[in-house]
Amino acid sequence: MDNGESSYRRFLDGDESAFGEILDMYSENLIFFINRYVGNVAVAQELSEDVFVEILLHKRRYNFRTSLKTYLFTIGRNKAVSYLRRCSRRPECAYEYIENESDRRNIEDEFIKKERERELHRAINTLNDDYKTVLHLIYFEDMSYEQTAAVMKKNKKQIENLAYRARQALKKELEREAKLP
Amino acid sequence: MKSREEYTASIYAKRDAILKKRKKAAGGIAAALCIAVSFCTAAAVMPKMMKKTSHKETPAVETTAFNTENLENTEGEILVTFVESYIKPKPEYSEEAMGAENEQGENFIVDAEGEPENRIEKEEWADKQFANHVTKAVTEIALETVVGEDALHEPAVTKKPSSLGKYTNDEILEAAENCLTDEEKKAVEGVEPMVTVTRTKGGEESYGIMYMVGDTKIKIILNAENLEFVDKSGGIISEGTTAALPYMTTPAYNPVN
Repeated sequence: MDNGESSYRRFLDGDESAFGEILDMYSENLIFFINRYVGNVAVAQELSEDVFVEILLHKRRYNFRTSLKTYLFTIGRNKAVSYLRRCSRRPECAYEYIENESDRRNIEDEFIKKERERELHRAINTLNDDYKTVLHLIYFEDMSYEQTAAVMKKNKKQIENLAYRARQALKKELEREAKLP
Repeated sequence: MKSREEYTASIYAKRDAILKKRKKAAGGIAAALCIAVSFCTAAAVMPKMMKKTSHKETPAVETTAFNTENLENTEGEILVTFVESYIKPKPEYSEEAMGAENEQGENFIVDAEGEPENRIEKEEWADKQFANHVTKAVTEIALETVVGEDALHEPAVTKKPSSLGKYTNDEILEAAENCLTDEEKKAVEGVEPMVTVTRTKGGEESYGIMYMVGDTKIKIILNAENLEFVDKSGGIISEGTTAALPYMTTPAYNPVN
């Protein structure tokens, strides 16, 4: 599996169906990833659309030096961070998109099958943004430390450190949840 | 949640909207550039028309003088006025009409009131006004239509570079253990220390490694940049001690002793 790079090459050659393949491959994961930041599925979906609009508008910008996944997730993270910054300046921004409770449940149901996984995700969502992101990228997106470092704009050592602290924090949170009646 | 078809359609719709905006903006920029080119051409041509002539009385040359009143107008009005003065043909210009020269031989445009104006200053002022106008238009359009031009670049946040991540956890813990005495090492053997990071306002970072077992608490502080010893506090509290010993701070840790 080439992680979408051959599809991207065909897309560069003008094959629009290849763009659809890339969407199939990454759109849901991207929405889920962005949702970690914004906490709103509808907003995450809109922001993920913006990521793919970037691809359509600037298709030659991807230079195949990193994986396509890393490239998409980097843009996705930047979109999410920009959105959060806009919202902190304009609180009404948070209400631009209407949250649909059933949508949130649907996306969780798609990705979280087991109760234990649900607990894990709940625990992860209590962590700070960096911890959430690093755990998500390493464990749910199966990214290497190098790829995670590229998405989070850090070096590999920092990611190692961050992952260590994130795991510790997650462990503490799961233990705390287990003790709750 | 949108269906796949709606999702894809939304992406293409957004792309088309952006392309449409860019096309519209490109038209505006082209018009502004045309005016700029005309101005530059006129500015280049004008000096050639002003040649030295014998000093004689010349009729007053009609120009659009720039005085402070114009500066109080809106930018658009200044631009229009300024452009008109340089682009509109002035048939009354002739070699005889031009060249109100001063004693030093410098050429001046004489305005309606007969006051000489330094043309170079006027050109520089106009250049600046026009540059601002075009730059402003380009910037506005760029901000409006370029979605995520720097999408690959995170929104700039100014922060001091951090030393975190320079060392592995093992290296940090090893450096902390080297600051313990043999007795202390024995007392905290098998204990997993808690590591905290502190960053001061000035950007100085340090690791705090805390060993806790029973009542014994030992804290080592290391410089995050180079893992050098900074401070140590706490100590071993053995059984049978009726009162807790005060924390000791060892300002100068000397491993030799």
